Amino acid sequence: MNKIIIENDKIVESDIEYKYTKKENIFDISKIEFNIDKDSKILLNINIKEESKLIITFNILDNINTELTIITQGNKSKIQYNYNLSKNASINIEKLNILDSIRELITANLEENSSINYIFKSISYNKENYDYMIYHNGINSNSNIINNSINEQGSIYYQISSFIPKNITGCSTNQYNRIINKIDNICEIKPNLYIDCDDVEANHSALIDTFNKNELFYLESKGINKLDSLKLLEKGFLLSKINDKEIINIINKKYGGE
Amino acid sequence: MNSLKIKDLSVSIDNKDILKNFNLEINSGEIHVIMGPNGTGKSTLSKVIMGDTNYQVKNGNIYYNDILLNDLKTDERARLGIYLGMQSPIEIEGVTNADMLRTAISSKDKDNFKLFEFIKELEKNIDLLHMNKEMIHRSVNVGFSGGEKKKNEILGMYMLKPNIVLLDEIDSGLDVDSLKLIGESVTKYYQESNCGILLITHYQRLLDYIKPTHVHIMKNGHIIKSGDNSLVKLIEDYGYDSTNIIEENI
Repeated sequence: MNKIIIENDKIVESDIEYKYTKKENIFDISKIEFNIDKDSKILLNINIKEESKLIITFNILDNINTELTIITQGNKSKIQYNYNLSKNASINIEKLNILDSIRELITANLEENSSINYIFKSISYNKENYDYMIYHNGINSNSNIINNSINEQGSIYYQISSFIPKNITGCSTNQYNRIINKIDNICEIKPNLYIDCDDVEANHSALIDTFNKNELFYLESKGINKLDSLKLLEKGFLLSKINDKEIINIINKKYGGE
Repeated sequence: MNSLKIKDLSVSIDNKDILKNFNLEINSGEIHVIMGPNGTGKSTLSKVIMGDTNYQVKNGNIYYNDILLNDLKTDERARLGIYLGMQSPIEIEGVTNADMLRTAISSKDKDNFKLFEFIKELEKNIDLLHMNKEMIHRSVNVGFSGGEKKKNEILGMYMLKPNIVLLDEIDSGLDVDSLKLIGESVTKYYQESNCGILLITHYQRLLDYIKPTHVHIMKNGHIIKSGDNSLVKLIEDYGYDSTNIIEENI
């Protein structure tokens, strides 16, 4: 596992070569760029101690497979992630955000036969704003974007837009978004599919709700009180589809259990 | 000696009456079987005993050892020692079986909960039910076959050690081998614990392995006939619609 640690807008440790462009003035943004030229497993830890702005770019070269785990914790931040996938490249991303407040722009550029599988989890205590732009530039490219958030005491906004132009055939795009809203604050999901091609498989879903009554009854019928049942369901919601041990450990530490 | 008493219970859902003046008493060491046509309120009965808030109790009381259950929450009823094995166990992604059972048992045992003993007990019961050990670390009922889900419900019963067990169509969706295993496992638990059991089923075949002490026929929200095991044969021969024939033969 290759490790990268970022504190605020600076790299403090990296097992992978990178290009760092320091911000020149108060209006500028620091940039970090990685070129991934061999199959890799990467853990990216981002700790935000001071309000920060950053652009992080991953260029995944031809035929390269990447497993990327991103864990972001701390204070207020604005981060732009760019995932540029060349021909036959793939990236599996598992990502956890536990922050005071965040604004993220995520762009993916997918060339021929490339694929992005993106599983995102977050617990919101303040404002969270996520904007996704998924560009299918090459034929037979795939995108699977799953966003699961728990709104503890903030508000969450998702906008996910997938673009498939004319003649970019054989692509598949999936967007699944669910927010568990524990309070009355307004949350919003805008799933968009901009498709100009008739040979495409596309799904999108958006759900803002609380947990299912039947799930609660099932757990309560085993003798688990409502509070602990909800805690179990929240934990399950955050752990579902996650394989990365670092993320699992953080969630287990927060909620207890296995 | 534990008992579950249901007195003059009337229940509705969305203004539709399901149970009408229903009466039943189950004591330790008794196995009651309720049979009846679809839609007659059998599953409703098990859920209402467990405190499902989808149903409105319009009249009547449910007692466990003289404790009135009507105002107790579902988890409080379960912790008293009542267990419901569901007809269609719910799938919960991300919550592992081990985590659910550990939380359930630690809720009941509180400071007396011992993790090592829990793991030992769990492994023993998984072997008993011929379950794959991996299943305990998988999400609750997700990707389980019908038989695996039912075994999982019986595993819950073994782990939680209830005094009153409600099994709602625990035989549905089972192949011959699984039916035998589940039937024998329930009987083993009954013999070891001297619990009281309420078994809801449509078919006689489960009763090859679980021998009831009382058999009831339920129709239109209440019990129309009670008797012993011979009643099962009459239902097999004449069906639920032949109520008059059943009455003549009793």
